[in-house]
Amino acid sequence: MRISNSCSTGLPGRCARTLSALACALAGCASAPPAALYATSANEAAETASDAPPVTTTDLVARYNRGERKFDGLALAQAQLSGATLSSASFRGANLDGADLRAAKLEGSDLSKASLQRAHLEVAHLDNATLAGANLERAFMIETVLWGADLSSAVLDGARLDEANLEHADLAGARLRGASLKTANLGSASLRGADLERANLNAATLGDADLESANLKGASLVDTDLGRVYLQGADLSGALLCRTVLSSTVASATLKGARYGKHTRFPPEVAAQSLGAVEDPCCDVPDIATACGWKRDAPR
Amino acid sequence: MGQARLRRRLPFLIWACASAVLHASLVLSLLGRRAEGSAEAPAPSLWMTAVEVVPPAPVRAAEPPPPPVERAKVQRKRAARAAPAAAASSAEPQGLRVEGGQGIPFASGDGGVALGEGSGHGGPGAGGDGDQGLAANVAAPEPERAVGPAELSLWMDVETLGSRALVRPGLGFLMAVPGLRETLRGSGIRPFIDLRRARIRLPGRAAQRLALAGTHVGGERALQAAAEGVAAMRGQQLNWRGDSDLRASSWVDGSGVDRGLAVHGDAFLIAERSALPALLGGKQPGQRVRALSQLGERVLLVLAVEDVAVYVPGLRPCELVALRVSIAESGPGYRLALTAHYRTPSAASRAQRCLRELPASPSQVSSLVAWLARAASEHSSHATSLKMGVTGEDIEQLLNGLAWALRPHS
Repeated sequence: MRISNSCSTGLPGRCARTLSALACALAGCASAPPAALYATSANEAAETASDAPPVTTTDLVARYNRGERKFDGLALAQAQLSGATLSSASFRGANLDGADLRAAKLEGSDLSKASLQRAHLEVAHLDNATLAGANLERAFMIETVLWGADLSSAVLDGARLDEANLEHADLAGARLRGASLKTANLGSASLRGADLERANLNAATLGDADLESANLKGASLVDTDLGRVYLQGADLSGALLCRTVLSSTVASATLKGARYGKHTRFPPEVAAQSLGAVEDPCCDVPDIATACGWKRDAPR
Repeated sequence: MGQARLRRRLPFLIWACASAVLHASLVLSLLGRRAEGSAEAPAPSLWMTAVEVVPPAPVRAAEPPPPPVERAKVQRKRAARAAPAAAASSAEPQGLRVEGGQGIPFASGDGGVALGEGSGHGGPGAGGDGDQGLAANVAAPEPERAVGPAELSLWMDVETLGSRALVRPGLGFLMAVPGLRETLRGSGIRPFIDLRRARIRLPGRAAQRLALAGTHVGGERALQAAAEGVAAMRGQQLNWRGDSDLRASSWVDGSGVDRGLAVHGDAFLIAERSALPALLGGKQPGQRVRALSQLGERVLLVLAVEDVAVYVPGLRPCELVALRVSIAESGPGYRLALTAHYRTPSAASRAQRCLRELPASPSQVSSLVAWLARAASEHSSHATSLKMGVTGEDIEQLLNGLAWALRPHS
């Protein structure tokens, strides 16, 4: 492809080499890759999928098995896709409301702005998938693998994410009002500016998560270790902090009316009461949720 | 006989030589002017590899030059002073050496501004041995280190980091790099499973300018499959170009950025298509693809940041301009080598105090701040340096801190 440096070097001496180099330079002997190698995308890739999106589950699976991967705008509400393999496919803006996607394989798929309200995604694999701006309101995502997934600005109000793996996930700006994230793994996840009002994060793993400016008003954080969580500017007003471990960044968070007990661990330099937190004996009884009157509000 | 022939042809040979040299110089001069005038012209050090040597960083006077009459005197004195300093600095290695590894320089910026050791040498001094009257009239200008375009570069030996149980923070960092998640989506590339080495280059914080280089355990076939998988998601079919040395195609990741992929065996580069010619250069681009992610022996991680304040604004009060951290294996532990460049030598000398007194030290980068605060400055140098043993937990904290710094701030 490239022209090698094979210009004649027959002339003797330095002068010949100079002439040869000059001739080579003028003739384009330098091994510069031709511009065509980095041609513009207009003539580089060709559209392949021209068919309309599949209208039945069978059609979708068949076309996927034939190698098709672009299913943007698919409308398959209530589809039965339990256990289906649909990895690395694009479902942008698809309507999969109420679809049964239990144990489906959707790793690396693009579901941005898709509608998955009340969809069943239990034990589904969505590692590295994108669900940015997707509507997952009241979706069932118990034990769903969302490792490294992009859920930024997604709506997850009232979603059930108990025991879900959300490690390294991007939940910046996501809405999780009243969502249940009990014992979920949110290690190293980004929850910047996320709305977790009245969310249940009891015993969730949040090591190195980023909760900067997150709304945690009235959230339940019982038995949650926030010792390495960035809480700068987070709003924990009225949150339940029984047996919670808090990092030093809690000093710059809002704690007005947050309730804590004897076993809540604040960093030594932080005086909980000066931040507006209130010690509540309800934290020290076995059934904390009932004793503290915490219940998950229905999402608005 | 031969000598007589040579004597007869001598005038012609002299004329031919002179003519060739004249033409060559004219052509080179024209080419040079074109390159100077073109903003798109790739700087030779635009995309430095981890094993290349780069020239020292430019320094410039902070204050306006003295009046013309005095300027001549100052220039003569500076020349006299700078000569031995320049000679001394030329004897020093320009690239930094990593413990147990090869020389590794700072990354260069888009403008070709590269950092290196000895940037403070040879610059105008702070007076002292000069003319007393002149020193009184002209405030000694402190040499300022030029700030290159903001750029973060990271080389990672992902294979070894994975075997050293540093997968979690390594991935945390990679996931936080703007644009990387989108770039790899649908490719099936799992960095800590499929890659041996990875190189990230992020000019500024804009996702579209991200470049990713590395080597894939599955070789060229796996890279082609990855590109085709990504394209299939967008309903595209790829058209491969190139030869056995370098194969190139578009990388249609659906982000809207016109990216390209260059493959040389198991080595690859994904970057903005318009940036590829500059990144790969004109000569042996295939070899260049491989060199981009190359690391010295036993080196696990190299981080080079230019215009640090863009990534960690909290460090702005201390006038930290550039930073380079390398971590190499050292027996069961690790050795850290850190070099920090400050705007002026005086900023470098007061850096330790400044860093310790930061009003709100960003807790997420506390380990980095602690290392910076321990780094010692050399006399009248812009740089401070530190070499010490570190633990896996320290590396984890560093990577977590970097991940935090790269996420968009509200």
